[in-house]
Amino acid sequence: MKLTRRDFIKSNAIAATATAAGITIPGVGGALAASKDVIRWDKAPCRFCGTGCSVLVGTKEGRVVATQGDPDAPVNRGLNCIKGYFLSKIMYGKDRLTQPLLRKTNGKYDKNGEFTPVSWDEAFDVMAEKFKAALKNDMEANRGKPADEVVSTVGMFGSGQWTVFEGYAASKLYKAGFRSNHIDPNARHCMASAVGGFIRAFGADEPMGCYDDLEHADGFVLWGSNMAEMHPILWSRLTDTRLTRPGCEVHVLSTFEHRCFDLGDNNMVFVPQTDLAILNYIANYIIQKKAYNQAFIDKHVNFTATPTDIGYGLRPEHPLEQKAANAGGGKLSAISFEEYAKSVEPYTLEYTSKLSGVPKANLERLAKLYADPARKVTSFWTMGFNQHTRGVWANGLVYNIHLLMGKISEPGNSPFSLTGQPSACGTAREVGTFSHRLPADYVVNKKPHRDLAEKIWKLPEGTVPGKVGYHAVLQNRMLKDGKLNAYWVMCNNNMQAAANLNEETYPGYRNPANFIVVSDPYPTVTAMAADLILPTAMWTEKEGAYGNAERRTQFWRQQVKAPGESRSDLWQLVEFSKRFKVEEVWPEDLLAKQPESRGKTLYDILFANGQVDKFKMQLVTDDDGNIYENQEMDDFGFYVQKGLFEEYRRFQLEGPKVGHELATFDTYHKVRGLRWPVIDGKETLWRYREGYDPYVKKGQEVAFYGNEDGRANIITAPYEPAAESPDDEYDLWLSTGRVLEHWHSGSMTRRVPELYRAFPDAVIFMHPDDAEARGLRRGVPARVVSRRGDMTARVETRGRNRPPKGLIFVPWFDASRLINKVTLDATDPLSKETDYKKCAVKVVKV
Amino acid sequence: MNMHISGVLVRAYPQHLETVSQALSGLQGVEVHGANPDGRIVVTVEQENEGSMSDLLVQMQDVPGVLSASMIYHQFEESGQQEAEQ
Repeated sequence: MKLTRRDFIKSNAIAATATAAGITIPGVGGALAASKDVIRWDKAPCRFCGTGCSVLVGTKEGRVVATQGDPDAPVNRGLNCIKGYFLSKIMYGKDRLTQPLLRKTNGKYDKNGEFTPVSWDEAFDVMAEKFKAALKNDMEANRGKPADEVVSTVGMFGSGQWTVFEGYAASKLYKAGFRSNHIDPNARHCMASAVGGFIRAFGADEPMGCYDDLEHADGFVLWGSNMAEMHPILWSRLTDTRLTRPGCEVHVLSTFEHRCFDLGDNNMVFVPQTDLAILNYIANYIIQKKAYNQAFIDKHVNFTATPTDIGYGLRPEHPLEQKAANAGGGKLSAISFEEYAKSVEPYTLEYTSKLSGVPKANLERLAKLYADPARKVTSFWTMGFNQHTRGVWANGLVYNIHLLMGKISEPGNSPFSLTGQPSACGTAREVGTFSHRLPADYVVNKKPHRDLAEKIWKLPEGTVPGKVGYHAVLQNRMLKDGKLNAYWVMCNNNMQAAANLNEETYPGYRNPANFIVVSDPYPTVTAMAADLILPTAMWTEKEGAYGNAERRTQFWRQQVKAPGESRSDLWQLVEFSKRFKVEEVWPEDLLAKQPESRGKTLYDILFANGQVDKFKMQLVTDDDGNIYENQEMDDFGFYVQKGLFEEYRRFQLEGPKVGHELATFDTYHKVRGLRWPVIDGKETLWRYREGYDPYVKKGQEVAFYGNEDGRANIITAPYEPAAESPDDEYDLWLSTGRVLEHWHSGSMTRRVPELYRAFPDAVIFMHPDDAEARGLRRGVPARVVSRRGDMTARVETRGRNRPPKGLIFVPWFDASRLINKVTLDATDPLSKETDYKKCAVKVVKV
Repeated sequence: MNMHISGVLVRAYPQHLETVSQALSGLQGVEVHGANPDGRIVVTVEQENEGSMSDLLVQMQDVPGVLSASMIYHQFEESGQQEAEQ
């Protein structure tokens, strides 16, 4: 039978979709197998969100031409969302950068010059000169200082989209090579509060549960998470459970109505910041009804209190910081159960309903779900909790509820922090690319942890600095103040993403005292504000590894060549290290401890150290015998990714902390990911529970072994107001966020014509009455004005997001309509994560 | 001429299967190939123009009764006239 090419492709599409629907359609089977003749298929995790869907990447003649949901993937079971569906196109935007660009005037570097194409050699020459100048100043400033007083003027802003190898190499280059802890990932903007919550409650980062909870819960509660748009595949699994599991219900809390409300059984729109009160009301309800799990509490829980009135993480001279009694305070103090009960007593149904604007019946229905010991509850949250000036508190308050009921660490009973980036967990958190972290939950300000890092890295004692470095928001402030002078931005778009760009970010990048390097595949607004732009290979143009929100580590092989001279972040980091002699970064006393390092380069010390370069060049192949390229292996002469990964694993195996073990490098190329800890080749689905987690001993039932006493902390914290609330002049709340079609700042998705067209420009979602009161209507342009800046966009009074009166929602993906000119850089004083969900604005006619 | 073909899995409440399938079939370039009685519908979308593909995907999500639409398969080719043996 002759088929047209069209019929052939279509039958592939039908066959794959029918499989996902669980049905067979006569006459279309087998087409997929036949298509292997022309297209080479291989697995890769999606480039976008933290769900970690696996896709099959179809390559033909050196170009990615097709993708399909990976039917063998436990995460997405053959499904893809609209962004995953267009993955094959993100690499082929028309304005892809293909060579380094340096600002020049008359053939020489000039901060105010025009971007001019240069060779990698010239780019790295100028860049090394600037970094060396800064490092020389640092060496001077640090003369005679012990490790925990070392300061630095070089820094890096990295990414939860870095591969595991890249994050590890960057962290090592900065912390061990340049002796700077001023390296922080953009995950600071999305996950830092979640991390703070985990560490304070459980002494170990990342969720105890996994996505299997989606099929086991009787009730789902969404706290500030628009899963339908941001995690569509998890949402489709949740939808399946809601439709098929008798009695299952979905509760949705948000500051405006969004797509999740279509499925919700109990929908609640609350006044911004009052989620803190609602969380405490539920705890109070459980205590008043004596519904708590006494046996669980007795065995597994401590009660504690956290300091209150802690400020808003603004610059210290800001009046709000001056006014705060305990600015930045976070030290927990032990309290009794009775004291805890008393602390939540004020959060009555009456008071909470009045404060939050949520009707009493809805609040009570929500509390009943949590308080019913017979119903399994999974709570999900994303940026609504994390981007919150009390984000760490909010994370803790939801753990309080689950811990009071013992509804944790078992199928369906799961407080579950979702992530926004593909490797916020795998790279930023597990590798520890934050300004205070080292790999595997170790931290820079503890000497034994630094000792471990120096031992594994074969460095003299005292190399790794002990002072916590500048976090994301502080980096921008320090750039502006001229205290951070050589700065490298990789794999993110922080000019667009960071709050208050008018007053902090832009002046920082353009400060004449600073040299700013941006590595990116595309000319983002961040790249355009830099002094040097380095063209970067992306996604399947390199070999990679990501870790998703359920602790699943997934690998992929390089599928195609990167265009022009673009190179992966990994290549850039390793290659740049060759430019530095160890004498340029280490003082004499360090060299004296390790004289054999004299005369060597940072490349020799960090990468060609006998460990990372241990794995020689080899062919990369799959089970079908297909051969894949590996640009980094070709250029450096050893299997760089494998060497870095195996060295990284030693942090999980040789330190005192257990429970972070990953499998071997080769294993991950064969499987659809594994959830750590991986012990004896077996993954762990639910942590801390006997029978699921090998670290919980027989008879213990539950052990929160991240804490020394094996108990989790319930941490009481009150409702405190937002940093900035609407007043007479700035009379509306502004919340920012994302939309389904675009991922974060849109630097990739806005280059896919279909996605661009689906949601071309940011709009101002507002209530029709609010629009009318300001003489506006749907479709007309209006100005959003705050105390810090303004932006213009069209008014949208219908559509998928329906704010209540008094609040507007503006997405931040649009580089030509930058909402972060308006937002406030107030942060959670504990996590240093910005609150992008709350500031005061007015909307006026243009 | 460009050819864009995708397979889309649409979910609806089982009691809305028929009306949703009908509404989807009414969209230009959309074909319904079958459905699981539990509410999962097998749909293909064919377009020559990239823009109308995106419009359709958004329209599908907005069809009353559609709870979610997941993309399963996507392929694009520069020309749609080549023959393939099977």
